[in-house]
Amino acid sequence: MGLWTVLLVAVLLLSACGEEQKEEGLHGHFGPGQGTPPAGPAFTTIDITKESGSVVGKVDYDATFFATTIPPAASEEFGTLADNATPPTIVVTLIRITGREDTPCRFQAAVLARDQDYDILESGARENSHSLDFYQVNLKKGSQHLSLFCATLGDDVGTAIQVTTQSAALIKSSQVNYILNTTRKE
Amino acid sequence: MTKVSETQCGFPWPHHSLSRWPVLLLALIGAQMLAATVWADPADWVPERRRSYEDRRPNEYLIVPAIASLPGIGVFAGVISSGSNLGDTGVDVAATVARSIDNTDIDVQFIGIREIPLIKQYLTLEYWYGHFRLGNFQTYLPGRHSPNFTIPITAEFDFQMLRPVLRFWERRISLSYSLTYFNGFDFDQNGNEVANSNNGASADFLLDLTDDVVNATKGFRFHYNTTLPAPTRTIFGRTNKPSGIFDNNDITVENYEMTGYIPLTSRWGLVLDTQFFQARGAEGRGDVIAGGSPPLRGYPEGRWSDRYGVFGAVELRYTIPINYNLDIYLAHGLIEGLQFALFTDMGQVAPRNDSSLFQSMHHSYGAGFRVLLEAIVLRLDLANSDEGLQTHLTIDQPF
Repeated sequence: MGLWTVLLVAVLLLSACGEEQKEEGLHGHFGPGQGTPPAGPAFTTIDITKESGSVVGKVDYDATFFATTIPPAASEEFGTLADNATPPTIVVTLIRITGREDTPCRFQAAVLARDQDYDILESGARENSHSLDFYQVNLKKGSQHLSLFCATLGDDVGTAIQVTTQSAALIKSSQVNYILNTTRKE
Repeated sequence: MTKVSETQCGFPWPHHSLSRWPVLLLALIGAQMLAATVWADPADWVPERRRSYEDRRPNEYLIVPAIASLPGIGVFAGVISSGSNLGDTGVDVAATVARSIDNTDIDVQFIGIREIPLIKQYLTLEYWYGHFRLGNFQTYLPGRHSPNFTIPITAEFDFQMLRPVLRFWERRISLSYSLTYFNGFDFDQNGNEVANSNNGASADFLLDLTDDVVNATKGFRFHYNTTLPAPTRTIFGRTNKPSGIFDNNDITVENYEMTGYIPLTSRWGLVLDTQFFQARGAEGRGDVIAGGSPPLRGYPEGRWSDRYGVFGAVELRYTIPINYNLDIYLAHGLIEGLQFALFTDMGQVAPRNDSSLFQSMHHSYGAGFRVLLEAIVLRLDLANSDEGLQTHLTIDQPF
C-alpha cells in the first residue's frame, strides 16, 4: 500500500465525536410513590383525545385530593388540577402531544430553561404500571419544582403531564404517581 | 402548560445598524492593506488568479469511504465523493450516501451537480437533492440562552435547490438566485413535529478578489446573501404550512461575510473571516426568530441561533507543496499540497442588534488537516469548546 493510500486511509478513520444526548439520571418504573395512597372517595377520569375528539387514552386522579379543577384554556389542554390549599401546593396540567414522547418533554424543558431560567436537573425514560412508556424531565427554579411527564397513547397522540410544586417530595408523591400509573391506552 | 415560543426547525435553509461591524470591516481591510503593502506589490490588492477554474483538469475525483462525524448530526459510515470537470464537460458533482452507526439512526442520500454550463464561462446551473431520515437526531432550541439540552427528532425530509449562477471577470464577481424546497416537518409551539413543506428563495453576491477560487492564499472576499419572497408554488411543489407554524415569508434574513487572506511566507498564510447575519421582519413578536447560526467549529451545527449573530475566525495555515499525481481506485487527481491549520473561532447571537452581540461570546479553537487537490479540498478539523470536542470531515475550505 503506497504512502498516499495509507495517508488517505488514515485521514478517513475518525473517532466518534458526534453530539450525544446528555446523560440521563431517571429510569425505571414509577412505583406507588411516597406517602398515603389515594383513597378517594371520588376518582375522576380524564379522556385523552385526538383533535377530532376520539379517545386514545385515559388518566385517573383522586378528586378528593385534587379538589380544584380548571377547565381547559386551549384546545390542546385536557385540564388543570390543583389541591385545595391557598395557594395550591401542587398543580397538575395535562395537554395533548403528538409524536414520540421524549421530543415534546425535552422541548418544553429547553424552553423553560431558556425563557424562564429553570435549571434542568435530570431526565430519562420511565414506565408506569400499565407498561406505558413515559419520558420525564425534572426542572427547578428557586424553590419551585416542575416535572414533565410525556407519554404517547395511540395514533401518535399522547399527553404531557406537568406537575408544579414547591415541594420536591410532592413530585414523587402517591397522588402524582397515581395519575401517572393510571394513564393508559384506550 | 407553559406556552412556549415558536421555533423553526433550523434548516437553513429599515434599520441597518451594523454598529461594530464597520470597525471589523475596516480592521480587516486594514490588515489586508498592510499585508499588501509590506509583503507584496499594492497591485496585488486584486491578485492575479493562480489558475483559471475553467481550465481545471478533467475527471479529478475523490471517493471517501469514511466513518465520519458531523457535529450535531452524528457519526456516519458511508461514502462521501466529489468529482470535478467530469468528462471534460465542466460539470462538478458531489454525492454522499451514508448511514449512522451510533444511536442517531440517520439515513442520508445527497447529490449536488454544479457548473452545468448554460452560457460557457458566464452562466451555470446548480442542482441539489437530498433525502434525510433522522431517527434520533439531536437538535437545539434557538435563542441566545439556549440550554445545552438537546431535543431528539424523528422525521424524514427532502430538500431540493436549483441555482443559476452568473459570473464575470474570471469569477471575481458572482451573482446567483436560489430556489429551494423543503418537504418535511417543523415544530409547533408545544414541540410537536408537524408535516410542513416550504418553498424558499434567496440571492447571493460574491466579490472574490483572491488568487484562487478553491484555495485562496491572498486577497479578499465579500459575500452577501439575502432571502427573498418565495413563490408558494414551484416546479418542486407547493408550500403547505399547517396552522401554528410561523410563515417565513414575513422575514428577510441577510448574511454578510468578509474574508481576508494574508500570505506571510511562501508556506504560511493567515486567514481572517468575519460574518454577520440578521433577520428583519416580524418585529414585536415574542418568538425567537432564527436568522442564522455562527459556524463555530467547536459546537454542533446550529448550536447557537437567534435573530442577529456575529462570527469571527483567525486561521493560520501551513501548506506543504506536494504536486503528486494520485491515481488510485478511490481518488484521481493532482494533490497540490497538504495543509495544516490552527484556528480559533468566536461568535454570539442575540435577539437585538446591540452590544450584547459582543458579550459572553462563545469560543472554540482547534487544528485542521487538509488535502488540496486542484478543485477539491478534503478537510478534517478538530475543534474544542466549553461543550466538548467536535470533528469535521468535509470537502471544502471553511472559508
